[in-house]
Amino acid sequence: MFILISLSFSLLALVLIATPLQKYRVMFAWLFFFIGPLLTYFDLIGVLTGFNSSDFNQYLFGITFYTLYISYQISKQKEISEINPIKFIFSVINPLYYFTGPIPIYSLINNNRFRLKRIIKIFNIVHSDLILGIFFACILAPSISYYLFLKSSQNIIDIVLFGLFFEFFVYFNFAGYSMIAWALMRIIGVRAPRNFKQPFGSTSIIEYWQRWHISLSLILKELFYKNLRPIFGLYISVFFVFMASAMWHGISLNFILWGFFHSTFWCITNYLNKFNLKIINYFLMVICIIIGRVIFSELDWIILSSKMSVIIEFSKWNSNSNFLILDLTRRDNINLLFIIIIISWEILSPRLGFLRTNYNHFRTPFVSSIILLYTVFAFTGLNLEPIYGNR
Amino acid sequence: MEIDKLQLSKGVKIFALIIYILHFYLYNLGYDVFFKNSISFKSDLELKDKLLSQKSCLIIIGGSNAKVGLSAEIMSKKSCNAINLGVDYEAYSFENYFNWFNNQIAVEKVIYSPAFIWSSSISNKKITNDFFVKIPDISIFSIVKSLFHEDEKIFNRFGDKSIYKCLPTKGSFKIITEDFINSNIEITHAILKRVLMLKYLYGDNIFIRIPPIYVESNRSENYKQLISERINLLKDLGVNVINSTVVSTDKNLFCESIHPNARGREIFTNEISLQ
Repeated sequence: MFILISLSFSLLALVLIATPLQKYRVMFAWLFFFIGPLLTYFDLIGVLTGFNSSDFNQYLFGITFYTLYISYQISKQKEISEINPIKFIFSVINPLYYFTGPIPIYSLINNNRFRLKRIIKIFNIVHSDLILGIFFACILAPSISYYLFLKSSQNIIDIVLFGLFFEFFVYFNFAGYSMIAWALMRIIGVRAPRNFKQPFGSTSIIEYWQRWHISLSLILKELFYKNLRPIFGLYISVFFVFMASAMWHGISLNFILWGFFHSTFWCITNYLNKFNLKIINYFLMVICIIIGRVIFSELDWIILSSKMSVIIEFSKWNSNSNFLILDLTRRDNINLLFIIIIISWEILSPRLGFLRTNYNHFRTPFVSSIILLYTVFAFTGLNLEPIYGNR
Repeated sequence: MEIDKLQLSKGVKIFALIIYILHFYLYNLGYDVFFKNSISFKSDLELKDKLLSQKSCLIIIGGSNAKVGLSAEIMSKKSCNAINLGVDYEAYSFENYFNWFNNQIAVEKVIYSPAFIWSSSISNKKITNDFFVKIPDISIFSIVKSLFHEDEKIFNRFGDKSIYKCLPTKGSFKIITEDFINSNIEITHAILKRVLMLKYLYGDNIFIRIPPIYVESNRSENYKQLISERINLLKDLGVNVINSTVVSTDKNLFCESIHPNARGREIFTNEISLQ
């Protein structure tokens, strides 16, 4: 059923593109973009806090992802002749990206996608991504999930630790499933950008956003930044981009605050870049990521306000943390060690002179085989849904 | 001798895949076929079989929520001798489960704790045909470990787990599904059918206990309202429903959404024992 609905949307998009109203192209693109946010506003699909991935409408499965893809294509295609309608439709209704992205914006489906030789060749290249994706999403992310109980705590240590753990949890779940989807799409001949490029190796919040959820960032840049920058200038257009991103996650007060928070830090960082204040920018990035994640996760405005007041007011700080009450299994502790190693490597590798791109060191044949061996021995099924999608 | 790293990596990958295929095969065939003498691979039904010969006045039946979420030992201290016959997934099919204890144990009261009241689907053997269910939910590490540690499968003479600790293997505190909204009648009639089967054997003293779940505070009212509709429907059908906590916002009482921890088990059992 959801494929039929996505098919209808793709046909509607083709009709809009075929109309002579090319000057309204941007408006049509925005119209498609805001379908997702409007559906969250009317509660037809869930918002995307990372805690309610099961909260989705089966008929509208993947709608926030394929409407984004359609809006990007409408905005990007200057002439109708550039669009091959059949390829466009197949790209929209490709369900591989519905559950978590990445959105396949680079090119439409290749013609030779079903040649066995090509499939084997591509598989040999991308299977290491598949292994790393399963390792991230099915082995590492579940081990962090046990710390998410800290969400209900109002203690300053727990709030900060929750922000940190939740960031890592979203990262390993989201990046892992994105890698799986990316690799599978490559195998069937669909090209998409990698959704993550070692974001924790970033030195500022600006760089972080260039490495986190890349397909969404590219679309937001195309849809909003490029169109608004000439009118409003840099800072206001960045603000609109973050607000659009916030609304894509869901129309609620916490996301508006999240958008405002991140855009403010982005602008401050951009300003400080002029003075080459790298340490301050790094510090701002850490604060922005942790506090931003706390804001992102909390739909209840009263609880969120209370948490924010704990962060701001020093008098409310105390050491009664719940952090140590959790008794994890030995394997979860080993997984946490892997998480620490991976995050540390992301942070340290650029400082040690290695290139910080595309998880190259985790995808070498030797490391990949060790990861596969551990994954096979520790795999307990697909016990965690893609936290960042399903709608 | 120089080792060809590329060939070695290829070999390791092929070895890992073969190991997993073997694990998948043995899991679906049943590890117990090969490890007959190890209790780690025996089903709960086999391990609890001897309990059926005991004299008792009350049995607790249900799936894992009854197995780990209620204590027959605590109930026995407060009233008469109770036995916990809870087994994982209600042995996958209530009919099989029912046939197991049917006519083998004489009791005055039955407490049935059906976890499926929280879902839209009913525990049934057909789910085992689903490919995703065939994916082993136990790791090879755990299989190897269980050959040397059998504590987790040991039950005391009341049928409660002797060693009780949370096993964080699934789901964690992810909010449980809300897809039960439109199937109240289907669910309540399925419960009624089972209650009638139990009544036929044990008379009128059949009590339904709603397994408590953990829900975040901002959503607890929704869940309470939704489950109360099902409880009212059951009561209208003449089913005895025990008054107890159905929705809890205290995470300290749970291993994850539907399974209480040792403290939760004690508190929730005491609630029932008082009645």
